Amino acid sequence: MIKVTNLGKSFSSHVKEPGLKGSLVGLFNRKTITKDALKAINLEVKQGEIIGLIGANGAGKTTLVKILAGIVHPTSGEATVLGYKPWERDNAYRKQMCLIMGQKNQVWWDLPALDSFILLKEIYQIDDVTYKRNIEFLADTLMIKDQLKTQVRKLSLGERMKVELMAALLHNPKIIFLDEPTIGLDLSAQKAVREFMKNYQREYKPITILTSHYMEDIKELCPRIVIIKEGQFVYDGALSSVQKMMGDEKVLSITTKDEVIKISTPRAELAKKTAEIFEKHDVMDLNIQDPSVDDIIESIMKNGMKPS
Amino acid sequence: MNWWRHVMAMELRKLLAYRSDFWVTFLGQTFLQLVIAKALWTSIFHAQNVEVLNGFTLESITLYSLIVPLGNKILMGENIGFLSREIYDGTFTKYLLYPLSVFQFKTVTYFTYSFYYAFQLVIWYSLYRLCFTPGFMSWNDLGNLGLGMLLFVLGASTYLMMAMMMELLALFADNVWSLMVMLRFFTSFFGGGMVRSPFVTDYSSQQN
Repeated sequence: MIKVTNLGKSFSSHVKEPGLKGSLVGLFNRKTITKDALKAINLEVKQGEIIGLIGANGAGKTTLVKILAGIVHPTSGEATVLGYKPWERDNAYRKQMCLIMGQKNQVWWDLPALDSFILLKEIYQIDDVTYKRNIEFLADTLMIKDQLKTQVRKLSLGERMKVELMAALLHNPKIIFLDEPTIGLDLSAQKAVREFMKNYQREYKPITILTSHYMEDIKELCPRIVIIKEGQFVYDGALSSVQKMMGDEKVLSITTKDEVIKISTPRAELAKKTAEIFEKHDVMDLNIQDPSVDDIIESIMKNGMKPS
Repeated sequence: MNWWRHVMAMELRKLLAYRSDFWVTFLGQTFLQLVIAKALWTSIFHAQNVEVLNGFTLESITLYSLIVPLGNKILMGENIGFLSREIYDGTFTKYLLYPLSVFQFKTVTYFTYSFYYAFQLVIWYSLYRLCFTPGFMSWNDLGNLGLGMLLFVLGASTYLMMAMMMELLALFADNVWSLMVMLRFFTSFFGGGMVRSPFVTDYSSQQN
């Protein structure tokens, strides 16, 4: 179980005026700014649950994941994962979790994946039977058996991600942190990774925290979502409930000669708004819909709306 | 727990992963250094018309030119930035996730490289002896070689500690890579890795 209470994290970084003058001044006098990446957040995740962490770039998703994985220390607050404080980096905790980052390689680039797996087997003290069973299960499910003896750097992006998944799951972790696992993958590779994660979750029931910019990942995998904006949670609940938050809203899609305009408006003002549009534009097509989950989440991320 | 054995094996596999690179670094580079040193010192000895220069014969100074760069590699172990660069580019994260000490892991990695270069030194030393001073190596030679290796282990340990401190300082002091370059230069210079400094001083004073 994951329990996070009033967790905060601040980062300080240098700022420099642009240009050569700024660079020269920076040699003698540096300005530092502090940014709150996380502001007193609270979260509880139960065993077997999978949650989607959604937010714009720099919202604090990866910081939260890194704190829970024990890589980054928080500035304030408390967090326990399976009863451990992650940043104390207890070996017993690290044996039970994994972090997969879509933009970082964890297997050794110059060697075939199987070489990395042999080392991981020793590091995580996996017995021979479990190791063989897991290699077979993961390679079969991810359909990557034939590529395991090829140098990792020679694999395609999708194959590399599959190999990363294998390496991370070899020791049957109870906690899985997935930080944008489908970034840069083509549609079929994204689908394969999603399918695999769905099956894996069903089979092993770990706690999974997924961050992704692809709504498809979230919709397919996460019954519960957490929307984070500027270091604060603005929504934590079921994905299916998110539409109810905007139950009163309608989306107007207007196609004119030059462009397609999308407007979100309260149901009561629908007639008035439609009339206004017909007056102002040369309308070729008009469509009135309920807002999609993607639209709602985008709106929440942009406007920080709170659940009603 | 014998993870360190597997880390060593892994690092060795990395060193052997690229065939051309392996042959160039293991044989080609040292062979080139040896040829240059031999040609240079032969011409100096010939120009001076001497058999012994500052206590060195042509064979011994050539051997010195062979051993010192290889010894330097043993001490330096892994490349500059084996900690700081990995932290900087984000690949260090994986070590933090493993249920073992990062420093133990990196120490094993470091000594694997030292071990590899020590093996290279033994091969080259044996080749040199076979080519220039043929005959079986005496127990005395082997003893010297063993003592040399022991000193290399001590030297490598000292260098590793200094390098780790510098590496972390380099990262936290805003990516000062030059600190590591300075450390490498000073250890190489004062360790005689560039030119044996007493030799230069004595030789130049003789010329005056």
